[in-house]
Amino acid sequence: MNLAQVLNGLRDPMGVPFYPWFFQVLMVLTFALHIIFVNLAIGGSFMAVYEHYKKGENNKRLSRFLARSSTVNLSAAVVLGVAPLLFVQVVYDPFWYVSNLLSAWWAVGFLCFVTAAFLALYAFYLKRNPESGMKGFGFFGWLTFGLLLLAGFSMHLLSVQFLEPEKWKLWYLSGNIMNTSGTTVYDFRISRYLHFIIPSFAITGVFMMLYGWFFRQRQDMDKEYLHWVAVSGAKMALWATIIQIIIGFWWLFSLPKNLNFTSNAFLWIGVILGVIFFLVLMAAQKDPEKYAVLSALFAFLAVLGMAVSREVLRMVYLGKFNYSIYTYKLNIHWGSTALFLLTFVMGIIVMAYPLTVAWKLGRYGTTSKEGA
Amino acid sequence: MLYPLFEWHGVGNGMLMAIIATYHILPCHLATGAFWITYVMERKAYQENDEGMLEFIKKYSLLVLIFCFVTGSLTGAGIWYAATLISPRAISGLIHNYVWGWATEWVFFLIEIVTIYTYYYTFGKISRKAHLRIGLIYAMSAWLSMVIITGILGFMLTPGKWSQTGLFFDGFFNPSYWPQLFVRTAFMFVVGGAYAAIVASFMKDPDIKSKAMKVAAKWGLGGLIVGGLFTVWYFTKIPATAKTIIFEDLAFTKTMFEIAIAAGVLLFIYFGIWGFMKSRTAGPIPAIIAMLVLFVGICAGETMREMARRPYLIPGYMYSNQMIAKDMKPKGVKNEVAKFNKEGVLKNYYFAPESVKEIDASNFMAAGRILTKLECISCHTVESTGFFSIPKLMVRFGASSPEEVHDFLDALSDYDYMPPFVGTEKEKRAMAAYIASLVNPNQKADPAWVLGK
Amino acid sequence: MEELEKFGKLATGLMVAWFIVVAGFGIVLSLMNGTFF
Repeated sequence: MNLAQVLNGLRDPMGVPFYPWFFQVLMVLTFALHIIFVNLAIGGSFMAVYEHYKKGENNKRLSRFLARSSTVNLSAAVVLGVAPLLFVQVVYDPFWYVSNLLSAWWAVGFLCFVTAAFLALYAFYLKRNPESGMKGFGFFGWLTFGLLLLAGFSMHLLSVQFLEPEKWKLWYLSGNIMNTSGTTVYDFRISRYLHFIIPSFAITGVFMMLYGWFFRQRQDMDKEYLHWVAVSGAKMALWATIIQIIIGFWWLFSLPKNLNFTSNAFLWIGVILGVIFFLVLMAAQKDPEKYAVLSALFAFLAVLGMAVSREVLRMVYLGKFNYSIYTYKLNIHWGSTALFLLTFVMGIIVMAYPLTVAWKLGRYGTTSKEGA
Repeated sequence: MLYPLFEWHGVGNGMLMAIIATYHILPCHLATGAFWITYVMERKAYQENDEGMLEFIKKYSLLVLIFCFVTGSLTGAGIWYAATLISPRAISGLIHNYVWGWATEWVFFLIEIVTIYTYYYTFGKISRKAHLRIGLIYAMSAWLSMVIITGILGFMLTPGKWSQTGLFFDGFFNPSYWPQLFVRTAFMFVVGGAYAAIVASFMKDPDIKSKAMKVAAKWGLGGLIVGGLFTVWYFTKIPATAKTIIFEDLAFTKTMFEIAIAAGVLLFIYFGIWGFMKSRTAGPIPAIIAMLVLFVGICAGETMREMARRPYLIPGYMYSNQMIAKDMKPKGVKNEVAKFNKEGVLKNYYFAPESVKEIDASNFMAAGRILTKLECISCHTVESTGFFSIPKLMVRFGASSPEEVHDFLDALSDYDYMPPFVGTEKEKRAMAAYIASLVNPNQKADPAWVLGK
Repeated sequence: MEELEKFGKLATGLMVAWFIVVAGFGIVLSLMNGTFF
């Protein structure tokens, strides 16, 4: 049995109920959304506790806002993570399952880390008293951030091991003993890991710019405070993006040469979108509120572009083993596909209602026409 | 082709699933039941301008927000992770049939997230009508997610017409689907009521406490009675082997059934006494004890349901050891058992060391160990501790020599809940030799016997 | 406020409609397959 045959043999004999490219598109799109909210949770929790320890009134207010919004963002990150997790198991099941089985307790650990981070975040948000010496509960804020980094590391190692089927057997076997403990970290790549973590500060920076822009029309909110948040956010986003670009090239040059990824068009599309985002952030420094929505749009496009590059990189890695999702056995079922698509459209419409209510309340302080 | 193994040494892989899945039932049934209760309560509170009740509802929804959306969502994914680690081919099989079912369920999760945060953070800040409506949308969305997952859950015990057609909807709307949906819908009010009772027990004002406790108790009692009736219906739809396993084969599963019934009775008493007679003074301690009783009852009931599926993970298709038992023609799948019996399991296992693929006098213990783990650790342990420890079971069944274990393996599928041994005769003997050594480490099997000379 | 109110009713109505359609289909299929009773 050669590895290509094995990888094919590990695939599910049931086949896939719709065209693989469609699952791939959904997987990449939902991953991009997921990672944006992960970035918001990581950046938000860090900034919440960072600002918590500073002296000013504005710092305290920002800390409180970021702690609260991080709970929502973390929730969104979790629910949005479900989709790419589902789709990766549809078309890349051999790789995902082997990687998880080899480092099983890290997979379980991931859930424990996120749960603990979430609970720590609530402890930090609900229990810390702005009036008191602000000691003690700040610890929970740092705990949240640390646990989220650990969670990210768990996902990271699962993702890296996924790409190295040629090493699986070497990792799993020592003589005639199978390493079934599931505790081992077999591989990771710092440059790749950092490339997913650093953007947390860029995305959170844009989030702060949006905050300053969104609440501008509220009479009951301090304009000077809102502006300060937007300016701080824009600055943080710019610097994080500069560092991110450097790390990105570090990762690129650390890739196996035989992948020829530096000459891959999809990489450069991602890079270009990242650079455009950087340029928008440069322009945004003078008037962050004016550029907030544009920055958000280009942040999304940059992340999406990078998500596409990441998927193409995966295809290149696995292509070396003659693995292609496009050759997955088909057992097309239109009925259930239609069920999902129709439900999704309904879901978007339904969600728009509470989102509109929340939007109006937030932006204008009221949902009624008269107050707007 | 079989995957590498994960092994929770000394405890058992089953325990990973048991802990995560049982726990998950609490937040998920709370999420599905709670907001129907609050919808009715909130409407009444607005009609009567009852600030106290609104205060209660706000506390209750914060509990749902934190408890369900932190631990519920992550243990839900946890079940999925546990299945991945214990039986990846089974979860893969389910996903490759029902991915769009899960994706559809996910849409409802999205709606839930959006509505619950909006509901909580707009409380008292938007019109009453709008707020009620958002709560109602949440309630509907949560319940609809249950409507979907129950299809897949039911499929895992009664695949119904899917076994012939391989079609999504034939498998989804399976024989035990409707009863199970009705049972869970009723029981979600028991969970919702139990949590409402906890929140109520912490309220200081006896008027509010009493009102809230009464509401909690009404929903809880109603859920228990109706759920109990639908459970009877459920039992008429599950296969005969499932009932035999639960009530006759295994003392353990019958006990689980009895514990579940006992828990239900205790909860009935709790709701009756603290919900009505002592509602003004109901304190946290009885409420928390009731919650523990509920948890034990759920543990028992769900364990019983899970055990009933044996020896399959996907009935009629995939055994608990992840091997494909039968052809599945509509999907173009051939059974593996025939091939493994003829050629051997180890020869077809990429992740086996090369040195054991051909069994000989020097490697049969190692081969036996690998085979035992491949075929048994999804449900058993090889240590003397943990879930259904193999050496302990062998002692109980009086099989301690390699020959005795071998005969036991021969007769394995005489047990309703066990898959047959899969592999060649040599592999069976190697496994028998290894298992015998677990019972008696000093025992060394005769290589000549293993190799069948 | 009127539009938001209507939007809210639409959202609620869509979900009810979804359920009726899917459950209706399911009941019919189950009856045909003999899996309902």
